[in-house]
Amino acid sequence: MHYKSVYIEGFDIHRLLSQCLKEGIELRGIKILSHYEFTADVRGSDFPRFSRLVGSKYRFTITKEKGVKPLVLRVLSNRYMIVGFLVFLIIIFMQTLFVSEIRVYGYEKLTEREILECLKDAGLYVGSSRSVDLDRVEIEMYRSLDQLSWIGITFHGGLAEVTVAEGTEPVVPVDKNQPCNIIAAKEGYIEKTIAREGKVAVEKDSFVHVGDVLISGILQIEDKTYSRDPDSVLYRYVHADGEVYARTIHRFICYQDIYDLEKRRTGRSIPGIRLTLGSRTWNSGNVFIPYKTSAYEEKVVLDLLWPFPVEFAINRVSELELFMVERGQEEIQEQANRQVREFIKNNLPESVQILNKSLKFLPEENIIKVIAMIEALEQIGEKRSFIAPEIAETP
Amino acid sequence: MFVMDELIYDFSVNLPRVLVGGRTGVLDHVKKLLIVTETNIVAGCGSGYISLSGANLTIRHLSDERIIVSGEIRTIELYGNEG
Repeated sequence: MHYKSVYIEGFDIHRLLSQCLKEGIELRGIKILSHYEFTADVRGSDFPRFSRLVGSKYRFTITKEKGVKPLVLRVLSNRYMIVGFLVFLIIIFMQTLFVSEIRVYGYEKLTEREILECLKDAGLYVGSSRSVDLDRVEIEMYRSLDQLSWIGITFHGGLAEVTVAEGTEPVVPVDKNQPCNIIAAKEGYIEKTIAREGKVAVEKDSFVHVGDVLISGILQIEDKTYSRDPDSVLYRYVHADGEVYARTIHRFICYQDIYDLEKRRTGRSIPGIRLTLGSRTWNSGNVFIPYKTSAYEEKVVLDLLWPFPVEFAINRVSELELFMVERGQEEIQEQANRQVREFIKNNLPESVQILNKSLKFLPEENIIKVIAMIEALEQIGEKRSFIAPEIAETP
Repeated sequence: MFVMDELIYDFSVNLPRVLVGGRTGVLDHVKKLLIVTETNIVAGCGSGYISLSGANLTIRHLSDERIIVSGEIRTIELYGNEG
């Protein structure tokens, strides 16, 4: 609404007010300053009639204009402000056309630096245009990094989020025309042998070391004809193929604490705030900590990346009391089982069948030594090619 | 007679009407203002007058034969309407 604040001076001001009543002119906030002067707010649409009523009998001054219309007119009259605002909008818009930050997630063996360098070679880097062809970038990344099994790139404003998934190293296969043996990659007790090509060289329950031939690619030819020398032995060389399953033993040692540290809150705490601008952080929780032992909790209230990086959080530092509590046997056993599962996950292939596992607990001074033995059934054969002697001897 | 009173109340456009609550008073059917000061406001309603006395009286709104007065209203007087 558009209102004009007016200051009226004259005699018989009540007569003017009566005339306004009669004409239906709306007045607000009438303040009678004295018998000869008063101030009031007149609606913009009523002002022409009001000024006609005032005429020459009273003197009036417009002290202020309120409302959207005068505000817009005031802004539009200031050309430099309009130009400056337009320039600001253009700069903000131009900034959104470029990549301002790249974040990489999901890397394990690859380093973030390697991935960023490959992205830069592929055309995506801080400062590059957002209109870069993401499909082409992904294809280039697959070409340059062999370990990459999947990559995804998404834009959130000027932030590019790159998520990668690494695959296992590819196994180099042996040429099928090349003769080879199947040898043991691990030591263990033979459980089962499936030979599709070649001759089985080990028996069930026999112990094999790493490198022992399990399925041989050298087959002796038994010649029944009499045309050959009976003392000469003939061999045929084949590309051995098959699977050999063996029981393997895995042993690992881990340690656990006998005592556990229990924390209890005393109820006393101090609230605070944390403000991060770019790389600078100010945290009230770091300035004043009157407690010997405390816990820090934080809740992020504001987290902006654009137009400038700022983060605001409220926190609380709570006083804690520490107690050493002896751990129960069940808890120790449960943790040991977790450690065994972790070991199996990290060290054994997924296709392995666990036959047996046993745990031995040896308490020492302040810790418990846990020795775990795991018996697994796994495929231990791997192909290794060889050069047939006749070919080797041929110059 | 109650109905008559109600009809008179609803349809009388020349009789003074005042509604006061706390620090606000609403005067209806006001045709003119005779006295407007911080301590006294007298309004003419055609066939009668209303006088409000008090302290720090200001007219907050004035339009369509209605004025809204705010301030400390101590006395309300009605004149000119005998009967």
